Formats: sequence, C-alpha cells, structure tokens
Amino acid sequence: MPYTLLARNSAPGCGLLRVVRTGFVHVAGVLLGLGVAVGAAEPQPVRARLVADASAPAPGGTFQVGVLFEIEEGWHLYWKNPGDAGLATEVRLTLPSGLEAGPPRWPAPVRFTQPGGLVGYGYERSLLLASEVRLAGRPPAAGTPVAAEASWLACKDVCLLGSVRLEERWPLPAAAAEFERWRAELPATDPPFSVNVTGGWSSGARRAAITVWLSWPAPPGDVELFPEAGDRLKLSAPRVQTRGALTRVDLEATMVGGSGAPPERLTAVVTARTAPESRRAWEIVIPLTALP
Amino acid sequence: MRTMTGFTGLLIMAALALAPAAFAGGASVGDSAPDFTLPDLKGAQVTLSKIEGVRVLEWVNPDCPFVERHYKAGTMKKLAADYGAKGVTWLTINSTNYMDAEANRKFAEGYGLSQRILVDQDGKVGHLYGAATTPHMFLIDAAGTIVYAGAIDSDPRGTGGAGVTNYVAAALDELLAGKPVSTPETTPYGCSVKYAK
Repeated sequence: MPYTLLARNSAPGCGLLRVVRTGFVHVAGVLLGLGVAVGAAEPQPVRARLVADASAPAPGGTFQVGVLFEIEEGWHLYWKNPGDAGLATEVRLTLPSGLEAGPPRWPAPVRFTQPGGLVGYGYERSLLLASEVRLAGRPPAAGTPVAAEASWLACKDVCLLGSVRLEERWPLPAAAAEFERWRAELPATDPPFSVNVTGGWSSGARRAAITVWLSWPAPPGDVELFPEAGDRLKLSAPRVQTRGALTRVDLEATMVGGSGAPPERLTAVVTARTAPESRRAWEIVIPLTALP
Repeated sequence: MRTMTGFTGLLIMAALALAPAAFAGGASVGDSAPDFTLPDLKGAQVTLSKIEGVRVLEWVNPDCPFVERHYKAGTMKKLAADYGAKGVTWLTINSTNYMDAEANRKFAEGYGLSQRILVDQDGKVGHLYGAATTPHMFLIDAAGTIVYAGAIDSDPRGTGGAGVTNYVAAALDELLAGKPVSTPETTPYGCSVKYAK
C-alpha cells in the first residue's frame, strides 16, 4: 500500500491538471486544481525534481528521499510557518509497499521582508525538502514507480501557485552531493546555548508577550529565531538583539481558532554563525507553561 | 536543554531589559474599528463610521491566486449578496500599490461585482488594520467593535470538501443571531498585500 507523506497537516490535494514526465522538469502552467490561469508562455520561477541520497537502502536501513526545488533569482518559497503571509511548501511522497517515510525535515529558512514590513520565512535560490525513508520490508522490484507530489506558492512582486507530480523508478538515481550540501541547514537538537523564557499572557489569556533568552558559551553572530506557529498561535515577527553572549528575542503570540487553554510549548529554529563563514541551526522547544 | 537560573541569569537579563514590547501594529479583535475614508469606484468618499450595522472588510488583490480562486468560485460575491440581504455591508478594499480606480473597475466588471470596492493604493488603511494577506478579513459589529479577524475559511490549499469552515459566514451567523463569535481570530492565508514600497 503506498505510503503518503504530508509535509503539513492538510487534506490531500485535488486532482492535478497535468502529469509531468519523470525527472527534471520545467513546470509550465501545472497548477493546483484551483482554476488559476497562467499562460503557457509565462515563465515559471520554480523547477522541481525528485531526488534521493542513495539509490536504495539496505533492508532495514534508511535513506533520504525528497524534492529539490530550484528557484529563480528574486523569487522565494515558504517554510512550514510562512510568516505574515504565504503558504507552506508541500511534498507528498507515494512510495512502494515496504517503504516508510518519516516527517519532512525542513532546512532552516531565511527571513525576508516584503513591502509594508510583512515578514516572510522561506527559501531563495533552492530548497531540498526530504524525509527519511526506511526500507521495512523487501526491496521493491526494479522499475517500481516512486512518486512525489509537490505544491508551492512562489512569490516575488506577484505570487504564483505551482504543483507538479514527479516520478522516478526503483532504484532511484542518487544525488548524494545535494544532500551533503543541505545537511548543515537541517536544525540540530543539541544547541550550545541555554534557553529561558519570561513574559506572560494577558487580555483573557488570548495574547502573550514572550521574551526568549539564549545564553551562549561565546558571542555568536547573526542570531535569528524562526517560530513555528501551528494552528493555535499567531506570532509576530521576533525582534532579536544580541549583546555579547546573550540574545534576547521578543515576540507576541495571539491565540487563534476557538477557545481552549494556551499551547504549552512553542517550537522554534535558532540560527547563528558560530564561525565566520557558516550558519548553523538548532531546533528548540520554548516552554510556555511557566508564563503567568 | 539547560535552563538559565538564579542570580547570574537575572543580572545578565537585566542588561538587555529594554522597554516592554508593544504588540505589532494593526487592529485586533476587541478593538474599536479604526475609522477611515476611502474613495469607491464612482469616486464617492466612503467613511466606515457612517455605515450602520454590521460591516465586513475584505482585503483583495485580483492578481493573487488565492483571491482569484475565491472570485472564480464566487465566494465573496455570494457572501456579500447573501448577508447584504440581512443588512450587512461588505467593503472590499484593494491596497495593491499598482491598482488604481481604473484597474479596480476592470476587476469589478470582470466578475460582475456589486459590493463596494474601495481604492487604497497608498496602503494607509491596510496598514491601519494590519492587513497582511489577500484575502484578509475583518468583521465589525454594529457597535463598531472588531469581532473577527483572519482567514476567509479553513482551506488555504483550496482542496474543498465537507470539512471546510467559512469563518466569516460562521461569525456573521453567530453575530446576527446575537451570539458571541466562537472563533474570533484565525491566521489569515494568501499572498502578502502588495503595499507601496
């Protein structure tokens, strides 16, 4: 039975208008079934291809499978929390039986400001959105199709919705170098800093002013924090200040949706330069339970 | 993960303690709706506070695929007509920097719209409300209080189906029945408002 992976909790997309052949494709007018008119001559800013870090794993072993997006200069795709506007990029894998995909592993995003001060979180130039896939059973027969459906919102001065169905055959063509290049952008879970949080809920516990303190072993460079929003919280763009080895991040959270208790935690990605040339990323969990 | 504790932590924190953070700009649920005056497509000046009853503000940009989807499906036109019959005023506001009255007229004619379309090319009213996306919805009760802010519905990807909630219709139904709005705020989705630089 094919395993379906959702890059975000949402219902499966409606029928795709066109099936695009295997491999590296130039997406032309292949849009979600939304009745969105884009002329065939209009240039499409995103190219997508199905990639894996190895052609096949050993039985019981794992490999990485995902979609590599190449994004034209000036355009961007969105992170799982797109920020003030936008839409998360989505990849759904359809795998042969015996293969099980884990959740998508999102590389750390970059922050960009759109006119009017609207903050976005996403990717420029390229994005590799992949999942760890385990070969639980027997390997599929050679030639068995492996598919990925990718959908995205690409924005520059205007926004375009795009989607494409990509297909490869087992064993997959390996593109280990691409995965190697993206490895450093995947958030680690062992941050070198400690995390403390102050602030509190107000206005009938619908809003909170949250201050996150990161205490570093040595002064870091270019610290940024990207909060995941989820269904329950709407978050302002964080304001980040670093003095010496201490970073202060202020953000405001608003409860959205219906009634209920505030979420107990907030997941975020922190990025910083601890060496001049390379950015590193860590995932942290910010507890909100202690807030008055 | 270690947690910074005790006196040292407090001292360090004091060094970075600045003025308390203010909430980001814009209008929020529970606020008195900021008043404004904008021209409609006939050049008439429309002032929010001079309109009686329940009002809906809808931020629009016909070039945005999310907006296009809803206009092709007739979502806004139908809601404006259905609730207009119940005394609700629907105001569609366009804060797109490159869309003047003429461009908005073409948009209105193209879809045969009868709700009022207001031109906010310099984005002043968009910023006043903190409109971030197209669409972005605000619902104002007869007393002038914002009672809903956020998305038009629960279906950013346009997948359709029985599970989709139209938040604006649900809030209007509750409001017109004299009930409190049970979902007063959601995260809006769509393109960023193309504000003037």
